[in-house]
Amino acid sequence: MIYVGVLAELLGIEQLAIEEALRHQLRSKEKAVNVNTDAVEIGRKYVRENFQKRDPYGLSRLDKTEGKILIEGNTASAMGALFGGCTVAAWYPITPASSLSESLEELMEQYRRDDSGRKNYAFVQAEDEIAAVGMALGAGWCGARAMTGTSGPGMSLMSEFVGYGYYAEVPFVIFNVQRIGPSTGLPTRTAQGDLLAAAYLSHGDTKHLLLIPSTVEECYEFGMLAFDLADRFQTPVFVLSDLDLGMNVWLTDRFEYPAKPFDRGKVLTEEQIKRLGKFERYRDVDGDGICYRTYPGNPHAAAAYFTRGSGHNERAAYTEDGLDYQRVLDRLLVKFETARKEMPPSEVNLVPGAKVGIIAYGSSDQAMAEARDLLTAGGLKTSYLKIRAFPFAVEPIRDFLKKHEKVFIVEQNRDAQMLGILKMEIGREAMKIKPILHYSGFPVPTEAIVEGVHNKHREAAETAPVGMEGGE
Amino acid sequence: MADIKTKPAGNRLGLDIEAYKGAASTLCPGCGHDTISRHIINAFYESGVDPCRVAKMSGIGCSSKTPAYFMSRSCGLNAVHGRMPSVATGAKLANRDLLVLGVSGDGDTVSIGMGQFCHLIRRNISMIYIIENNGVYGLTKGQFSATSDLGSKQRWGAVNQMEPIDCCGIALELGCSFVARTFSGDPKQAVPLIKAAIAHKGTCLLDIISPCVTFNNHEGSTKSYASVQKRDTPVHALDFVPFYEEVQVDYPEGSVKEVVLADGSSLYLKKLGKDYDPTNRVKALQVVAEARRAEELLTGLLYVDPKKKDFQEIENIAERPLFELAESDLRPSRKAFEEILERHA
Repeated sequence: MIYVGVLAELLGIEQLAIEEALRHQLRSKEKAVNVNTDAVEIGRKYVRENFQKRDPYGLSRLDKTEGKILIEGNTASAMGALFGGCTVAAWYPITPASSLSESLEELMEQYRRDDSGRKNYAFVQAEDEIAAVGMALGAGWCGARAMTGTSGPGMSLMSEFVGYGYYAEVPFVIFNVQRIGPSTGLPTRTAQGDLLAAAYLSHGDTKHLLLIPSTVEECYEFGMLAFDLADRFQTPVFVLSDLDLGMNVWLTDRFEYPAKPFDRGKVLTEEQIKRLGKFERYRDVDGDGICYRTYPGNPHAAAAYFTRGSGHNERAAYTEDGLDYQRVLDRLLVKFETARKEMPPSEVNLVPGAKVGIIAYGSSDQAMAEARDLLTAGGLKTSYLKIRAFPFAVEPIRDFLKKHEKVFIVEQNRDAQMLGILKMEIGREAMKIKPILHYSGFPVPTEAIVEGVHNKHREAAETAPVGMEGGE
Repeated sequence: MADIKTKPAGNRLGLDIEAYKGAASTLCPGCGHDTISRHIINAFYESGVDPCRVAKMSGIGCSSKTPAYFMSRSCGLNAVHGRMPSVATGAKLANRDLLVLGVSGDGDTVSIGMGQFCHLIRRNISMIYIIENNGVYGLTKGQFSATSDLGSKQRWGAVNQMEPIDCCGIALELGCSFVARTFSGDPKQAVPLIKAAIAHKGTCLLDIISPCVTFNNHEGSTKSYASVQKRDTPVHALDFVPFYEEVQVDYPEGSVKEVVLADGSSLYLKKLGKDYDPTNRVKALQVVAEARRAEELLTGLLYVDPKKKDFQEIENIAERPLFELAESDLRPSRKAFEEILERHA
């Protein structure tokens, strides 16, 4: 604490701020606060008597942060889960995702109790990630909004259940706070290396809905939206943040209180089944690929169905018939295409006269503003497209590719995973995108983007056919 | 004896036994599992459980196919291999009004599923967990399972050289609040045990030895009909009296122990030979181990603790099922929202 006093005096930190911090840290235990305040004063006094400040550095209160909040992405995601109506959360401790579940438990303890103070939620520290996701799946099957939080190794363990959730159409939410892989990797370093694994997790033909927040505000919004999407599309939904977003404290505008009511998706009550006269779990009645479901316990005698990961037909009956199997699998594709239209759209910032476009997603966005400013200052105007989800609408990206002579994508992984997805989703036109990749475990620095654009730009100009103009 | 009155057609809900049946079985004719399905149908029918509020859970294997063969009016979920306990846990947490009935096998439980099985018991999630234990992998054609007894012979002559895992022994060690073992071919014991499990609160383990007629019913197998019948050593005879029936018992003094279960039903344990106290866990562990050494198959209610808190009680979770909560219950107020943000201001 004497050191704090020395530092406070050297940097000119006001005493009020120090005392506030002490009270916060020591939970207002008066005696402890006093002892520590005295220690701070000893440090201050020593500096006053023995030092003369020569450097220009100091700290003072500013009003630039007025109305803003400081929050970690994991806490913001937990807020999303709370306001998104999550009632069953199961998890297994893992860096850097633990604080997400722990924040959620803290919030639920306070804000999710019934009138008699009993818990209106269940929170389970499971024996491993397989059990954690199994519990989320069981709860989602029964109609509770359920989630699990994990990172790469945990997600690998979850893969069988996630494939089950996709095929048997059970909603639940997985928060993956990415760390660098493969394998155990660097547990305390950041990356965007789980993108492909999450998008196609599990064996067979599977693909999943991914929300990719790029700010803490989106951690909150997508944390909430994920539960609506899971219910609407009756499928696992990933929120793919990373260590940089999740565990660092970010300055941001205050979040908005949710304006949209819950979307619980297509669920039939006893009365509705009575009116309809029948119920078939996997029949595409509306043509959007999304079928109606019932919650277990529905008292109508025709409400029950058997959920299985083995081959099933429209009536949820076991089948080994190839055509029955194909019909369900093709319908899942229809559902995926319906989802594509409802996922958060890519954000496009078109700059007039820009011949260069940059694509990024997730936490790479944090370096983009400065990188583009520096590029502009160096004479290179750039447009920007931020992908926020998978699947994404293809046309806006095609359009962006057409409008720019050169397009770069910034990713924090070795294999340009989003570029791989773009090639699959868009085809030939995506071949012109050049990757700028950063995977040291630290967040992508601005310089890496600026240099990357310059280098690739030069390479491209050197190999360009005669007559084709460079961007600069 | 408990006075079982002749009832009018249907059970106390007025439901016919047909309402408790399922699709036709595709298992081998004579399979012990099909007999267990019949015991389940009878127990649930006679107990007057509304099939709509039952969730049938299973993993993968011959045993795990059976939920399709009973109670079609109940929702079912055939999970991935060895992971039924976690899905059942999630289901029970979401809707505590469901009566969760898990059916698993020996491979599904104590090989691939050992971890989840143990942790289910550790949490004491209220559900019935039936192991249809045949000591063999039937669906994949006859490999030994981890419950195969030492020295038991495979159909093609191989002899199991490893110690078996005793499902009841493990459950006892973990403090499971209801541990029973029975034999598929003994409806007089199996049906009252299933009924008692319905009446219990907490995890109920029923280890039901269920011979595999195709791969494990030969000379030299310790899980064949002949071997099980020969070694079956019941610790008591059972009478179950549901809470909604008037109890009229007339047992000779000292010959019977009554266990009152969570819903008020009673299980009467009638003495057979030696005294057996199913409320003494340490003793039960010893007796089960000794019987195993003597190659006896100890059956009956091995241990019960009707008062043990289940997970929802331990966690103080609300009575109202979580899945029913509406947005108004779940979305904290604007004031709460501002309060949370203020902590980060």
